Amino acid sequence: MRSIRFSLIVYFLALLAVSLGGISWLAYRSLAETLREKQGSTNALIESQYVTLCKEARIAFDKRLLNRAQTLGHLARSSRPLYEPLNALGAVSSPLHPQGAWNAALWAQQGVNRELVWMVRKLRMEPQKRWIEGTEIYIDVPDDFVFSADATHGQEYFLAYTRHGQMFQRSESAKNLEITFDEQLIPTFMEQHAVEHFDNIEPKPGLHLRRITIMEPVTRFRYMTFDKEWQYLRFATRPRATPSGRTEAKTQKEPAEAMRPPSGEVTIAPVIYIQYAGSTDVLERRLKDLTDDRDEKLAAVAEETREARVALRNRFLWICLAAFAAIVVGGTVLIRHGLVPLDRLSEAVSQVSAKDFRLKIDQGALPRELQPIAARLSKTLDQLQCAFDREKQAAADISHELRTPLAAMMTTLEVALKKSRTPAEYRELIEECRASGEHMADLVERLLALARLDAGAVAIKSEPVDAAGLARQCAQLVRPLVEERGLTLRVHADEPVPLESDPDKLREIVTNLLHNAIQYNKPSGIIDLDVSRDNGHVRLEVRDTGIGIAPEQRQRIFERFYRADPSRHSDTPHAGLGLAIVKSYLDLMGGAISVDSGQDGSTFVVELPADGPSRA
Amino acid sequence: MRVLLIEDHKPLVKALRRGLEEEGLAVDTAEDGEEGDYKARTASYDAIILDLMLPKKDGLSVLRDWRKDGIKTHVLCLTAKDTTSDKVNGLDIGADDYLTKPFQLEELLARLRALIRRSHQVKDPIIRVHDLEIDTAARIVKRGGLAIHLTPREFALLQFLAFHRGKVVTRSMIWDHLYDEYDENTSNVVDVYIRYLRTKIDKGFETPLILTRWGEGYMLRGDRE
Repeated sequence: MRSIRFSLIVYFLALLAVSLGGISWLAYRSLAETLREKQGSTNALIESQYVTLCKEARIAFDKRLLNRAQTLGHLARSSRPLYEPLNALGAVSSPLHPQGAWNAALWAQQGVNRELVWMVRKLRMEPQKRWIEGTEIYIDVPDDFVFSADATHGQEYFLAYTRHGQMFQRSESAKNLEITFDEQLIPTFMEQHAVEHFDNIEPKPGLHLRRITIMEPVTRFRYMTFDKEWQYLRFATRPRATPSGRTEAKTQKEPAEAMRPPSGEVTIAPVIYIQYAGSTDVLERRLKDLTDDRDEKLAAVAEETREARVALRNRFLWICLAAFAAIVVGGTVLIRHGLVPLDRLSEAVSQVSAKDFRLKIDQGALPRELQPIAARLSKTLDQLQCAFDREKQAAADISHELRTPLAAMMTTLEVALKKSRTPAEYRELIEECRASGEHMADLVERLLALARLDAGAVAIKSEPVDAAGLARQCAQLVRPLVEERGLTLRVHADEPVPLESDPDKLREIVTNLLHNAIQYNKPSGIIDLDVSRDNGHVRLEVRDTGIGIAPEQRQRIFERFYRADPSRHSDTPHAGLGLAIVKSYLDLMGGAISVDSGQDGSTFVVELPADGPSRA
Repeated sequence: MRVLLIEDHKPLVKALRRGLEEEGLAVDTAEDGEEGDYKARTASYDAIILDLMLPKKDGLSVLRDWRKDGIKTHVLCLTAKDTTSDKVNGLDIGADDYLTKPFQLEELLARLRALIRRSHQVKDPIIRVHDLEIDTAARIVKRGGLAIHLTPREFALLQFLAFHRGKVVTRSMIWDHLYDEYDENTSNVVDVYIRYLRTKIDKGFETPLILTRWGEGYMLRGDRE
């Protein structure tokens, strides 16, 4: 057997566990989602910071390269053009140049000793003067300008080229490198775009360089003029905006005004290309630092998120456990408290005994749900009490009803046996014994009839009966008794009243009612027996002129052993069973009995369906 | 001895009346409470047998009224109710004894005799007068050791005299206690029975025990005479 308390707690806890689990899971899910989003946005921020920093690092690196290159360019622009005699090497290399023939001739004549000097722009041959426009550039680079492999800047390099790709100067660090000059692409590109050009090169395996190439016009250059004697073949400073200004022959040894090329014939200034390169190791290091930093930050964020999630999970777990524990305890107490009325009811029910059928409980104090149960129980117990009392009373009545005739019989027998008697006396005494025995047998028969009725073992026949004839027969049966009492019995049943019923039971009913009417009639009273047919029903009416029945007794007269006069013994062995049997029979036969009573007598009315008991 | 039997079950009344009368008791009967009440108040009985379930007025009410009105006659209740509470209730109201149906006639008679003795303040069932011994329980009479056979009526008369030994009992007292309501009251019936009794008790003995008080009645010799 399952306990309500236990079931309630189990269901309650199951529900609680499910709902707590569900709520916690949902809350955890949404919070974890928030955490993930936060982590995502933090990651994006870190990533964007990283990208920005990388870009800045590259820009800074490039800026530095540009700066260095530009500085070199400035130096180149500001450096004083040199004049040096040509040397043999230059002479050898010059033919490589498109207009190198002149170079070679110049080098050969002048003994220019620099590697790359000339920028031939124009050659004019006049009969009296021949001069060349060109320049020799030497960038006066301080020794420490180019960093050599330090931690901050790494190894740097520079190279200077002419427009035609002739390298004329390079840093010491670049001496062993084969750095080519893309003479086709770069000048073209730069002349078109007039900007610096960056590229990455790998001059030797493992050495990654970032290179900038800038184009720098050379503003200070000399004209190199020569006459037929080739004596004045020397550079002159390019004339300024005022060609009329004299030159200081003493200091500059510039050619005479006449030697200056005519204005309008001067073309664009010569340009040089300066490449400045730096090892990308520095940049790579910087970028690697940034990457590491970023990764570190990302890892930190991921770790933080993971920890937050774990903490969240643990917190939910603890909240759930605490709530569960609290509700286990609280729920148990509450359920116990809630079931207290049930316990009270149960206690009250357990106190009910055969001696006291009352339900000792204040129904008003019970909760509303239990009140109908208590009320119903109370009512049932009351009915049980009544039935019990009735049974007890019935047992007492049966014993009384049987004991009195038994006492009479035994007394008669004892008297008979007390002494020897004449046969006539014996006969008389034995007759008396037989009468008592008959009385008891009749009583026992009635009790058995009731017992059979209770057990449902009485079969009701259904056959055509003439109720009027049957009533007359019954009247005939009781007539001796009627006359003995000085009563008058009138039967009003002249017309036949056909009926489908059980004639034996019907006879018993009518006889019983007539016996009652006789027994309770007043002296010289009248009994009327009416038989009539009314709307599908047969109506039997027995009227007496007796003492009547008090209203409060009318319902009870159909109970067993109930007698309107409790101390009344009768000569007939009805023992208060007659009406009970009548009622039971009528219930089986589908009929009904009612009683009306007043000062001047009682009327019992029996109604039976004319076509027999309905089988529905 | 005269008893009143109040009982509504006719076969029982008939049997009891016969049984009691054959014991020499005078029996009056009543079939309902009211009749019984009337008879108990108008005649003097040595004991009353009262059924408790009676028509018209039930036995307990009748008894209660008697005791209230000072009627002290000993009452034996006869009933089919056998629970202890019923008995206690009956005895508390004033019954002197209680008997449940069905009963043995002998028991009823013995209880009745005891009640009658008690109503005459006699405890010893054997009454001795000189050499006369009256055993009221066994209904045996001896004089000088010799048993004397008496009819029930004679025994009843002797017993009545013995209950009042040393005192004069009048003819009407004898009549009242020895004859029932249906007996024809003829003036000399008592004298006739006294004569029968004298013949059986005193004849052949020196000391007569049944004395005649002229103008008053009869007396069984007391210790002083």
